[in-house]
Amino acid sequence: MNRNMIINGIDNESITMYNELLGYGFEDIIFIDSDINKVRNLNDKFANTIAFYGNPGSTEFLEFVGINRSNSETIFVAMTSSDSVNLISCEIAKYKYKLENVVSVVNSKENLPLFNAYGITELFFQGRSVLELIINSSGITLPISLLDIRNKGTSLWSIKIPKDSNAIGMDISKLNLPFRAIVFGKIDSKGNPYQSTENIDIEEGDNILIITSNRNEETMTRFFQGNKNA
Amino acid sequence: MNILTIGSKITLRKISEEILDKVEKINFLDTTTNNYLNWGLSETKKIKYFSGDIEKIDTLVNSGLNESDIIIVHAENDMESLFIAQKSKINANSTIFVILEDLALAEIFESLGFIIFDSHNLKITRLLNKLGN
Repeated sequence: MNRNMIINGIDNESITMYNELLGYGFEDIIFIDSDINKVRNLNDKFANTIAFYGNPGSTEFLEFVGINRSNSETIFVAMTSSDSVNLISCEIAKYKYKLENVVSVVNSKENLPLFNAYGITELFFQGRSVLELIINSSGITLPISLLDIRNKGTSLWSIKIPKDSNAIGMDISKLNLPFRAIVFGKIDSKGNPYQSTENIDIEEGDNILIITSNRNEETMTRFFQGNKNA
Repeated sequence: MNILTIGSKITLRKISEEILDKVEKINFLDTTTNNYLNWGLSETKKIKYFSGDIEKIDTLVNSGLNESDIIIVHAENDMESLFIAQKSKINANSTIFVILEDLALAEIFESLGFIIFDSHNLKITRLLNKLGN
């Protein structure tokens, strides 16, 4: 089956992204945006029209640009700077047009659980890596998503144990987390890996590897956080 | 019942005037309280005005989200209205009404538990029923 891609949102990276996607074998790619100047500017760079101006919340417009094209599997990507536009356009794609491949940028961390709650689980959080670096260096440890389990809203997480963590001294095989999770094990501060079946205590500087739903991120942070930061 | 309205379009003004004597409290929230200057409803024990970034959860909570039985949203556009409505669902005990310009989206969001009104043909029977008429 053919594949077509609709990218909602044009920014400075759009040309690079377009060329890279062509390199991966995608040929039928179009951009949409509610800013006519962005649409004009992008189209000026190409011989063909690859960008269209319209309301990404309008089903009429989405159908015009091919969201329900027959004999084609549509991939919908929302990457505007507005989380409301990203969430609603993805929900239209997912719930009205039953698209399986829906990907979104999330601009504000407080909206991550909202996207997950409504089934938009292929997410990229704009500020995550920078935010994690800053926060982690300030003594508060945030879980880092190492791997998204596709279409499940679940990830493989790594969380570093800070010096005041309540989890220090707990036996990793008997770790009683307040949410559903699989604990794989730990990597100690020297890089040695241990399975969760080994009776070994959690120590400061360990990295615990856990598979759990993305919605448990905050609970996980609180569980492993130090007393000073609780 | 406690009501939280989000936005300041004429539809919300009409609804508010109609339900004012049927409710205990109405909180009005928009990006700025200046949008309510011509409404003619003075701030009283029953009526309170709030402003801020209406897409932020802190703003919604500070405006009384958690104490509201009914939330009515009509923001700048349908996308924003539906987004705020979904954020407001952290108060699971509330009933959320969303006023839309384009009813093409109504079916999807009714299936997610929201009650949709048509801004071009405002009939608020379901809201009045909820308030016990």
